[in-house]
Amino acid sequence: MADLDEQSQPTPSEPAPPARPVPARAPAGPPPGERTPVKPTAQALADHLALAWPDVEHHARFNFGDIELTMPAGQLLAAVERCRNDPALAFDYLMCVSGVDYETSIEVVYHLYSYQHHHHLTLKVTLADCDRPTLDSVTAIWPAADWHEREAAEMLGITFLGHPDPRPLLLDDDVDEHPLRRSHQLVAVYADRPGIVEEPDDD
Amino acid sequence: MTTERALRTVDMHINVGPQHPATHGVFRMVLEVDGERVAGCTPYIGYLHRGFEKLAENEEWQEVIIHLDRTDYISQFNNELCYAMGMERLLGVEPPERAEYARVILAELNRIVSHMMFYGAFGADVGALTPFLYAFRERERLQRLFEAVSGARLMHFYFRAGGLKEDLPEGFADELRRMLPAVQHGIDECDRLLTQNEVFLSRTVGVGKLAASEAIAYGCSGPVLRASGVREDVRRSDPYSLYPTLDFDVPVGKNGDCFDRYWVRLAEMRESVRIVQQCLDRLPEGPIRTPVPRYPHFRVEPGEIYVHTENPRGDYGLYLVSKGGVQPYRVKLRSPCFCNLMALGPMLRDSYLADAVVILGSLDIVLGEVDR
Amino acid sequence: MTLPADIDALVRLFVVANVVLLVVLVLIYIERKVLAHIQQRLGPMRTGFHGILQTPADAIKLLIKEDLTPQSADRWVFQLAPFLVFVPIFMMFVTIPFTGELVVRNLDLGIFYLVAFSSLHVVGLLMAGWGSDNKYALLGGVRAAAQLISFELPLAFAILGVVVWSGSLNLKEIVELQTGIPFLLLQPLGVLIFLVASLAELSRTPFDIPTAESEVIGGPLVEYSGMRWSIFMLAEYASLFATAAIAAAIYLGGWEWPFAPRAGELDGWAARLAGVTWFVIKTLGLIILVFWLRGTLPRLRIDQLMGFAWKMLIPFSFINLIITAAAVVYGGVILLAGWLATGGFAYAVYIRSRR
Repeated sequence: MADLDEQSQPTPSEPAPPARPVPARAPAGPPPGERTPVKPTAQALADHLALAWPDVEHHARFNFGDIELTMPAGQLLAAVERCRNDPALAFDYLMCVSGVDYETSIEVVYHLYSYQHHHHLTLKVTLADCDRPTLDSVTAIWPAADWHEREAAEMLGITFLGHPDPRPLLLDDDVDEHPLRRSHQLVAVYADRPGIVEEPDDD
Repeated sequence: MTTERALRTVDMHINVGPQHPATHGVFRMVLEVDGERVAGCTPYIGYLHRGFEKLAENEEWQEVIIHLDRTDYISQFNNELCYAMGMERLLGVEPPERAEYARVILAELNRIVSHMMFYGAFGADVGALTPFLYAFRERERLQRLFEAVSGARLMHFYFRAGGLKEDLPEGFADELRRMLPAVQHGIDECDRLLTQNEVFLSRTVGVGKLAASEAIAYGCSGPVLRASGVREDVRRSDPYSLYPTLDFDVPVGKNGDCFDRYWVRLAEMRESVRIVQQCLDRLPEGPIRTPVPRYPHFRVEPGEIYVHTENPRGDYGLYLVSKGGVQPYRVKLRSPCFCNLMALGPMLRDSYLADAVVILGSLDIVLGEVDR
Repeated sequence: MTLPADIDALVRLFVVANVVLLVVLVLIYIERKVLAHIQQRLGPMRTGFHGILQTPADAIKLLIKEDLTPQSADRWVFQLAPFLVFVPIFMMFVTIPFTGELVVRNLDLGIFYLVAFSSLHVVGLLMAGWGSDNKYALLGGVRAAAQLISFELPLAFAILGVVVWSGSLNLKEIVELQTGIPFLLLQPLGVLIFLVASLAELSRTPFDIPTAESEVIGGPLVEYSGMRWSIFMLAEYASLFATAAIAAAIYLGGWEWPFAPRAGELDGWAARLAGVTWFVIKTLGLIILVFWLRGTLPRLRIDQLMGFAWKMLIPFSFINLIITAAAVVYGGVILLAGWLATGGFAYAVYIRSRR
């Protein structure tokens, strides 16, 4: 109990007893990411990365207490290999792989966690080429990436190089659109399918 | 060797699902079997894909909760809790005390309900009919309570950014206090009904083993991970809401087999009762909703956040991206079942056809969440 | 009034056939009620008093349903299979004695006849499994064949213990030998083996592997509907009834034990009634035991089941036979010593296996 409380209560001045991971803030104010206190684990991680990763091109910032790295696509494999194998990082748990379409670019976000050190890390890769986004697959490092990448591939049209099984996962085989692209309109899916009539809105 | 050629066997492919009683929904796996032995498994998902993430981009922030209820439709309060927390962190508000307590109570009761569902379905997978009906009797008790709270039995739509939709119904605490011993007794009864059964043990102990290293590699979480001996629970490792102040244990298994996954869930139900008891003792009076800016529209400040909670099925994560609009820019759901299901292949090694059903049952998948 | 032998046999056969049909309807109702109450439900309640007309209603529904044959099925094999399952089971009733007189034909080779016919319906199940052109049905059919043939051996050896002790294959004579002590007490091991093996023969829980709902979704029956499906059901419950009746006769003293009216105490009809009452009580008791097990136990896996048959039941059925044979030669005391030793041995094995 005790160590956990410390972890979640970084500011000693916060009122006890209900320890909160996120302290109360006024609704209005500066962007929220900057007001959240940085977790001690995240600070230690940031210090380590600053020392150990001089050769990996990346940009670090704190977001809601956790550290977030943004890097170009070419750096990804080198970075994740270190994340997995560096004993000081030891990120063995790939929580989530998300693809986000920002219209001018596509971002792939990896959320990592280490069971050994109990620290989180967010890796972000920006893909500038929206027409043919391509990225290296991380399945060799984390088998957990398998389905996440397949999903991102069919939903956003990202090609993951070196993925062992790049079949579509959730969608029908004959869907050649990428539904999670911003340009993809919801209604349009149904409109051009035979047999499905678009119902008028009530209002 | 003429006999060998005469006895040449061909592996048979069996299509299990999407309509099969053991797949708990519309999961489909093509099993390659050599007689009764499973030689390989190809899973197919997506039969229940409703495009939750796309729908969420086209709904207002609070409306997304309706769709969240329909992702993991057995642990709705837990899903809502995760999303509400995400919105609150982005907004920088905090729910009032009473709302926090109500949320934790409902989330933990929902965990019991969900694990009861697992218990019954798992019994049916192993071939016992009776546990199912016992489990549903226990579920029913709590479902009625949920109905009183939210007005709906399944799709509650009860948590909001900043608190709850409305206050708990009058007499809720008394009713729950009265009910808890019965819930506890029901859990004990279910335990006695199945756990010591010799046939049940022979079907589950040592079946579908998953080593801790494999469980971690495949991104398993929740009871599936803990059964393999990893003491990891989001409520402890990345604490949220009231959990840092509550006293509860995180049960873990040893062998990572089907029995351990079953046992961990039974033990978790008991812990949930403990948590609910503590929350009930401290449940304060007061407001249930922190005002959030709602006019002209409810908006969430720009930013992005990954928020996750310990759902009955594991680490339920939401990656929310806000551009300050009325609608979320992107909602990505990290579904625990989705990730646990990836470990099905390694678990099915050296198993029998009958084991495949039990192993799949022990993962406790909800297809609404796998396919989203 | 005595009828010519052939006519007499036909009349008896007709009566027994109808009684069996009726009994099956009642058994299904009892099973639903027993299971329901084990599971804290009410079971059928709407059709008639406490749902008593539910099974006739279901039977009518099944009979008027469309009789489907899958297009790719092996037509003849598929359509013939239910009858090949039902007929051998029905044939068993020829020599099953309800009382001393209420029997179609009391064969001198009665037990031999029963054992022979009880194993024949495997053919029908295998045909159903093969003819359906369905992988689940095929798996179920092969499972049924493996299971029924394996359990045929311990079943026959368990009955052989009774045969050795009584020195007869005639069921009536076997029952009449039990006026004092039923064979239940002389053959405790045999009873256990018989009950377990016949549960497997009947494919009842925990051995309902061929039709396992959650694995092979009904196994050989998966493609059947309507009347052909109901014939399978009829066969299942008829064979349950037959097995329980046989057990009641050879182990529980049939219509005689615990007391039979002596000559002159009761006149003909009252004595018959008493006999039938004993028979019904014992048979129904055994059947309800089977239903109870269904409400309680999960299902075993096929390899565990086969291992159990070949490694446990068959060796123990040999032990049973040897002890009984020794007791016939050297006197009944050997029985007591033998069962105690076997029980102790089995307990020791169990304790060791628990570690």
